[in-house]
Amino acid sequence: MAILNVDRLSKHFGGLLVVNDLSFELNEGEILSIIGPNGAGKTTVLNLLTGINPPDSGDIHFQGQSIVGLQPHQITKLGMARTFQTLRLFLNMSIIENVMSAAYPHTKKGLFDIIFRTSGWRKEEAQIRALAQESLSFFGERLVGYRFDQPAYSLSYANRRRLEIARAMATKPKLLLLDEPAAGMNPKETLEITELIGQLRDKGYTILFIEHDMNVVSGISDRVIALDYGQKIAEGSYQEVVENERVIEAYLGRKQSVWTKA
Amino acid sequence: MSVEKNTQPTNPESESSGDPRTGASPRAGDSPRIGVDEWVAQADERKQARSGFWGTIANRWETIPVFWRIGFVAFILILAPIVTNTTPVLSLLDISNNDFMVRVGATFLAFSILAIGLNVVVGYAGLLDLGYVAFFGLASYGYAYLSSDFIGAGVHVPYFISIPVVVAFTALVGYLLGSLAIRLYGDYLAIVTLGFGLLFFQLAQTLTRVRFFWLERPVDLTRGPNGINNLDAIPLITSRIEESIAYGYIYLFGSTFTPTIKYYFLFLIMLGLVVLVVHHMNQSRLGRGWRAMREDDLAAEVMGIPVRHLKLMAFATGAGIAALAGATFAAWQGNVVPIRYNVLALINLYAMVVLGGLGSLPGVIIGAFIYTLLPEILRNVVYATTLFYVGGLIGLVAWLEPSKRLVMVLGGTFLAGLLLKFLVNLLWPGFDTGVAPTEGFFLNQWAQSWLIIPANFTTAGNLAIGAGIAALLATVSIKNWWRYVFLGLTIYLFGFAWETRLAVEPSVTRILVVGASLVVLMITRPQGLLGKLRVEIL
Ligand SMILES: Nc1ncnc2c1ncn2[C@@H]1O[C@H](COP(=O)(O)OP(=O)(O)O)[C@@H](O)[C@H]1O
Ligand SMILES: [Mg+2]
Repeated sequence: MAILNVDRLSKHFGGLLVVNDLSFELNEGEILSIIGPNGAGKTTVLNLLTGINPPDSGDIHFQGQSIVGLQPHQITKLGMARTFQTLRLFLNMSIIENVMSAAYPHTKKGLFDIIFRTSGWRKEEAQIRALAQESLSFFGERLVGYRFDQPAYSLSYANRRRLEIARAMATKPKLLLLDEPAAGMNPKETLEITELIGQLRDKGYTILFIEHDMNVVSGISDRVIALDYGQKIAEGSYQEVVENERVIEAYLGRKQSVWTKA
Repeated sequence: MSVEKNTQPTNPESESSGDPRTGASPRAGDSPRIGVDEWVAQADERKQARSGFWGTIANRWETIPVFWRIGFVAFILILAPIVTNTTPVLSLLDISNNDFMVRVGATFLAFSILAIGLNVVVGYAGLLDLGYVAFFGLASYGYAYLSSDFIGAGVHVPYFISIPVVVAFTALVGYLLGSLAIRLYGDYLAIVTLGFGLLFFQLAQTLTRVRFFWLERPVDLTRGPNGINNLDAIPLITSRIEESIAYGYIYLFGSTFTPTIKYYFLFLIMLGLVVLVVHHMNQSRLGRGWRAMREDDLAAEVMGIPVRHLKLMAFATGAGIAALAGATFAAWQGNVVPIRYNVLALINLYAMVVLGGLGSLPGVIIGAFIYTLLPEILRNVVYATTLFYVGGLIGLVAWLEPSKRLVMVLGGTFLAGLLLKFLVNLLWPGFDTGVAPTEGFFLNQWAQSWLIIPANFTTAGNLAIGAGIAALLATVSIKNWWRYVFLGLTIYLFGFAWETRLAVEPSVTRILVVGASLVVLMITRPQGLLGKLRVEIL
């Protein structure tokens, strides 16, 4: 069953058509990878899906409901969460608070409970903390224990990428949108991250995995879509897409973009 | 097609040992190292390794459980007005107005409440609200309308209705102003809210002849710069109960239960409640939402936090807290005057919040304490002098730690001063014959015992201020032992400037001291006294 339907989506910035008549489907429980050279419009697709930018035309259905025109926090509440390619953590908050703050959409306690610390509030707070600890422990020892109360800015780059994923998980999403989660990581860490993404799928998340480096998505993608100039140029299994003429051309035609980081 | 992975940047984690940005300075232990996992791992060790005079004090204080720390502070705050209002203490401090100390205390508590409200808006939610002081004023006028003879034959709504009404109304105004300003960021928000604040001040001063089309004669809404007088006081529950409390107070403590003492305790209770409520708000999904949007409001919104709603909540909360302080303050003073709500008041509040440390409740309260107390102390030559020398000594101890160097610098300056004085008197009798304008306080006498005071000291005193600043700059910029010579010179020059000029010009000194304290703090501790250092750009 399709959890996400993207129907003829278009978006331009000034005179530049960044997403061009893009349609695709995402089935529940699968990992769909969107690859494409830098500037292909991958991040913009995520911005349209999460409501950061409104599309010019086209429609997006999430679990059967149109989400075009909703505010980002409403979309997140419906069960869609993302990470940012450019890392947008709450740097001056502690690691665990970064994750706990993302529990906002599925918690309810209002001013009265907060001020009087009612038993309902205590229970909910304990649940939020437990959820945050669980999300963080997904990455092994790296983000747990004494690190809970350290500021996010003190983390290394790779750990910040992990924290972004943990934070997105705390919104209790069904669909996780990962924007180049392995960018800037070394080969060992990249492998580890892709393995973790496979485990996330096994835990029941549906995953949209965005990556400019096609090798990264090779092992774990159920399906792959290739974008170039905002247009879908190929779709299918990893093997089919990688061997597609237009994909090779798109990457080779702008060879340097394959070799440099986004 | 293959892509070589090794073209990607190497991972910072694997080479975290030496960060050139923060490694070198001797006190690097305190400054955060960004993106270095090991630095994080050593958090506890760093805390334990804090040493020296201040480190030891901080460590000691932190071993006390939070409950006892708060209890200790509360105990002092409860005892302070009782003790300071007794005759022996007042005569010791040479104060004739027996409510003086309590009045300063009550002002401090009221401003603590105001500063905490500002801290919610600016410190937690990150909204630069320069119209905050208008909410303070609005609530005061609201209370005046509801509880004085101003309207018609007099409206006298009891305080337990009028104060909640005023607080709710002001919070609503905060909410509405917030929804006007919600799309604005940073500087724009600051300018628009500043405009609101100035508008309020102007309207309060000028709305004396307002024409309503259904009325024949113009109406005076504010009484202009003179303000509204004779507001109702707030009784303690009922005036009957208040009387018996006053009686019991005299019986227990032997001094009169003045209205000032009553308001002191009223503000103290309010401060306790406000601290509790704000603390609970901050340590909840609401506070985490506020701080998340302060850090990155787009990311917060995308993580499911309704940023717009939370911004309005912050404005309304801040305005409500300001209103609580504003209405009570008006009742205490018995009047409202526009001048109390001008830009200077706003700057004063911001100074408290910034000096104490944005985002830290104890910090903000300490900020309010310092900026309420400083101007009062500086009014009185004896106190100002004490503050000057003791404060200077504390500053020196903070810088050099109690050490041989400290003793050498102080002793050296003192001895050099004596020697110089001796030589001048020997070689040039008649030069050191000036009589400093400062009174016979023992610190003044002591300082003048080793300073040369020429007969005509006014110009010399003025020059000494400039020279002292130059010597201070030399002290902080020179790195070898010469710095201690310049430090001695600085002490000598400032001592001279103080004795001849500063001590007797309190109005100038006040501005100088307040400004200097902020400058010094922002250089040495940009995060404020108790604030956490913020990391912005990576
Ligand atoms: N907010 C924006 N305003 C103007 N141009 C934008 C904006 N966002 C993206 N673009 C442009 O759209 C193109 C696609 O960008 P992006 O979606 O980030 O590509 P990718 O993530 O595939 O590298 C780029 O040329 C970029 O400059
Ligand atoms: Mg991108």
